[in-house]
Amino acid sequence: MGNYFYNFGKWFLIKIDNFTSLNAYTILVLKIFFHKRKVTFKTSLRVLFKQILFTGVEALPLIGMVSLAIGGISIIQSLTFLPKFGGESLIGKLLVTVMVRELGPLLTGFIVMGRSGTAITAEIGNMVVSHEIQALEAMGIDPIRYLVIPRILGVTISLVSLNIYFIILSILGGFLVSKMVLVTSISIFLKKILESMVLSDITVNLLKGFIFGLLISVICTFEGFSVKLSSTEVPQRTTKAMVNVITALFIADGIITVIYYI
Amino acid sequence: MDEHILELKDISHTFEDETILNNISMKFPKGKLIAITGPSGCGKSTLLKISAGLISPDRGQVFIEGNNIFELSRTALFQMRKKFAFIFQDAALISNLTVYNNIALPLRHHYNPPEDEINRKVTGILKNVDLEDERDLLPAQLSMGQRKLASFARGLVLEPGLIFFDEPISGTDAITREKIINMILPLEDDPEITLILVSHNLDFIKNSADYIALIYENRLIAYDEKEEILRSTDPIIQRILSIIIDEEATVAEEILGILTGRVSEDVFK
Repeated sequence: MGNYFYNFGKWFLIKIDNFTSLNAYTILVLKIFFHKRKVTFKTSLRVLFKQILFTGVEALPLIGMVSLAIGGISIIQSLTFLPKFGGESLIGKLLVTVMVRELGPLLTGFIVMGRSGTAITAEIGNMVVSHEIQALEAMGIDPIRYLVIPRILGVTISLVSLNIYFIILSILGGFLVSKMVLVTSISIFLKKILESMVLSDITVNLLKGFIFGLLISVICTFEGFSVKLSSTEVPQRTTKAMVNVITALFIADGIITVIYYI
Repeated sequence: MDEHILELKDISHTFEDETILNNISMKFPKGKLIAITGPSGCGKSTLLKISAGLISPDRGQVFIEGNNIFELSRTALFQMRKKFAFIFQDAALISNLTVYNNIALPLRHHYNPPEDEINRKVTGILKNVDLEDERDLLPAQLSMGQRKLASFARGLVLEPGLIFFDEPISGTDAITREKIINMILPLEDDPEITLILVSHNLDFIKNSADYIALIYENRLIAYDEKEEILRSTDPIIQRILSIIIDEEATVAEEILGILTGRVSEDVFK
């Protein structure tokens, strides 16, 4: 029994230590982000564009496919049970609630985490092991400014943009299915959707995209820098980053939903 | 000794309860080449990284040009590092940048001159290290020797006044070794450039160093002008020098063994 409490206490202290380190890291990143620099951001801009290309542009086909499918599936599922309760008129509202408020930001977040977040942790972890981070420091290049800030901006800008893209394509997916089943026109479909959508839906979607982008990039870069000596730590840290991001996204999603809708 | 560019005060460091460095104090004179040597695992490379501020020691202070570098703000420390270079044992080139972009990186980041100026400067340095044909290759496509040369070139691009070398010639073939030595020796003549290197190679140290620091079992055993150390009749100093020579000989013997006995046995199996 005593051993159990000892192990629990040890686990708890490690969690507290990790959480404190993550907060200290976030504060450091913010401090460096808002610190004015005399010279150019040229080298960081190159990293930013590469990150947007990888996280945003190259994710378009996958997110497009998922959003079309989810939009269509939501309509199919709604059409199977809503008419039983006389709730056909709620299809638009349901699509907005599911796509814009909840599934859109979460699914996009998970896809970005799986594609880019893991890549960021593995890349930074490998850079630590091969002394590339120390080499940057030795050249007087702050790795937070050169590597982390462009990645945070790149992932966040991409995630907000991908959220908008997700909404548009999921509505299109929903329309294509509705067209097959209900023989409705795009104008009527869009009218119903827009009638169901309020400004707070869009605000929440963008806010979630922004916060999820920050969480993914901060946690994944932090875990990358947590690699110390060996390349075997890289996959371990990558897995840890994924678990922590999933937890963080659900907690943040819950908090934002509670604040806005309850 | 003359004017000091770098000073270490009471440096002690441990890693996972194991002592790496024990109470080391040294002063590095400006414009000289100081070689730090000692048997494998004695803490030479850690001492070099602490001297450059890349590792924080558990105890002690490091002063560069009179500034305690661990008390500087993060921004001030990074600004100060523009003035010196660190050449890593494993080159540590940025793996997703070409050789050209690796060398151009510190220039772009700190000064952002026009691209034609960057091109002129980087091309000149690439020519000096004989890597013009490799300029568009990634580090993974280079040999270890070429990576070291590229790392050397990257270190020199900002014209530093203080250069740290971690085992500059280890793991290189004879031609690359000669190229590296031929690049280090002219720097030695410049009174504004201080070179601090860690090496196992006593021949190289005998031919190049002004001062020698001997580290043994995590302690600084001796630190003096090269002639004083090499002429010393102190039994401890002689013992350490012989250990270094033995280590070199063992490595050479192992290589020779692989090249002769073992290879020929394999061939006739």
